[in-house]
Amino acid sequence: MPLPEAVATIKAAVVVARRGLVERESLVEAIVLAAVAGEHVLVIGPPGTAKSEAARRVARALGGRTFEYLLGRFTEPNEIFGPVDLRRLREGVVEVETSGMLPEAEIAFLDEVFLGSTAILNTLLGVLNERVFRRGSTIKRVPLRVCVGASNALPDDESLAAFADRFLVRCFVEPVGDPFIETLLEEGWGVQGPPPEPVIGGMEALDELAAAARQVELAAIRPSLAHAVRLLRKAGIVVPDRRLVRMQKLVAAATVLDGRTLASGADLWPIIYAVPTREGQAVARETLAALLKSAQNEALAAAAAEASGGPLARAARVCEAGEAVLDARPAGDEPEVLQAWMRRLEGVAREIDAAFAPETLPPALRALREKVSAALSPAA
Amino acid sequence: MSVATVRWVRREPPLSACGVAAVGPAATVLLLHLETRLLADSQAEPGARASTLSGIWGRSEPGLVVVLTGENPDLPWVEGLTYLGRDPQAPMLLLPTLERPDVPLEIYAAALRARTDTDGLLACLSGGNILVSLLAARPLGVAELRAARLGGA
Repeated sequence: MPLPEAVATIKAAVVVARRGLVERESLVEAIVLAAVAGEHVLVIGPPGTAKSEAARRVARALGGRTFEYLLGRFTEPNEIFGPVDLRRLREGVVEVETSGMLPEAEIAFLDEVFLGSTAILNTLLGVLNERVFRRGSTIKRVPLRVCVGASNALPDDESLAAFADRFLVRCFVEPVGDPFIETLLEEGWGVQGPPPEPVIGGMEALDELAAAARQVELAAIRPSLAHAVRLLRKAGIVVPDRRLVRMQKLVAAATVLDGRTLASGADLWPIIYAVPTREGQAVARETLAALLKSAQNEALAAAAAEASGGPLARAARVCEAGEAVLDARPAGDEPEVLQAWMRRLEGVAREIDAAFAPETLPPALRALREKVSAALSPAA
Repeated sequence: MSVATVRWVRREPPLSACGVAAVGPAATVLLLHLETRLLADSQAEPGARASTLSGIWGRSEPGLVVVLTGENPDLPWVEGLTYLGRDPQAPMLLLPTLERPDVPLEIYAAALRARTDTDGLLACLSGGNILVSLLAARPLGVAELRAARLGGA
């Protein structure tokens, strides 16, 4: 599959996955970024904030085999990895029947991931790190592209720090903000019914991009990456060396998801997601604001905008959202329906004028503003 | 006496909008837009006010000046508005989301307080040339909006 086609496929999958989710667009995109990079995601947030739903939708949109489980203190390893094959056990061999379990999943979601027992976490380490499942005499490669772990908070326990470090991408979510509660209720009600069909060729596109990411040329961007790390250290944010090296995989993934094979300054924004704490990410955004101002990404506009806060990424996200609102013009003349649509258009116009000076509008955003202004004019 | 000229520079990233201002013809258009919106909303729900919006308006040299505050999704849009936000370094000021003075904000805010001798939120418009106190801001109603638009503010 050619690179542009793979990017378009993933972009379509992201649109399908995000549908109906409110304020979770960047989480969905961060999961896709990690999947292309061959890394894993840790989502920290209170219960009921769509952490598992975001992972589920990505898996569904891509058509990947999924495994999902809520871990507890008393969860047995066989609940995650599969039961011991009793037939083989009678022959004196400990083998695990993994059918339908995590070792056969392409996308996994583990809720309350830090509650797992030592036995579970030790086995998970091998699965996450090397994509190899080892238990008894069962040793098999796993097709896992990305594991999304969720927890209410980062672990205090030092002994869990090494396990937590396997999740390179960190996303912090909060309940939907007050201004968006009506949208949450509307979207949540609207998504009842059968889930959307997966995008054709989703997993193939993901694998194509992952392979391309491994070949991305990073030499030109390494000085900027090193400069970013030094700025972070000066601001008191120390990213462990192992994370620094792996951070390059996120940058490479961002490059291919923007349709290129040569990394540039536009691809540095995933650095923010590699900073382990919420407070650290906030400081990192401010510290690296100048370095990240050219951040943008064709397939992951929301994640790029959220990570960088940069104007180009912001403009791309507003453009995408604005065009979707324009395309959703109601067919009929029902006044209340039309009025609701025009309020949404006002929201788009407001977001543009509040966030962009007229002389700095990129061409696509300027064109969108003209269309929105025309649609809102009394003569329309 | 030492004098400093305050210049306004581009702000990046922009502030999150929690208010909006209009001056001159844009202010008249804004008031008419809000009046129309309120009427439409009150047909759906009689007696409704414009959700969380409150505002203040008055006449000054450039003409009618309107400043509104409220939840971001409720802020209206027409051509020619200036969106306003609050910077944590000067929380009692409503500043344009896209600009800031090129002096430390705490000093700027203190100087404005001394100059205006007013408490409460203070909106800074037109490069600081128009200062609007929101102490007397009130919830919007159709009658008040119409009176303001027709010159009886």
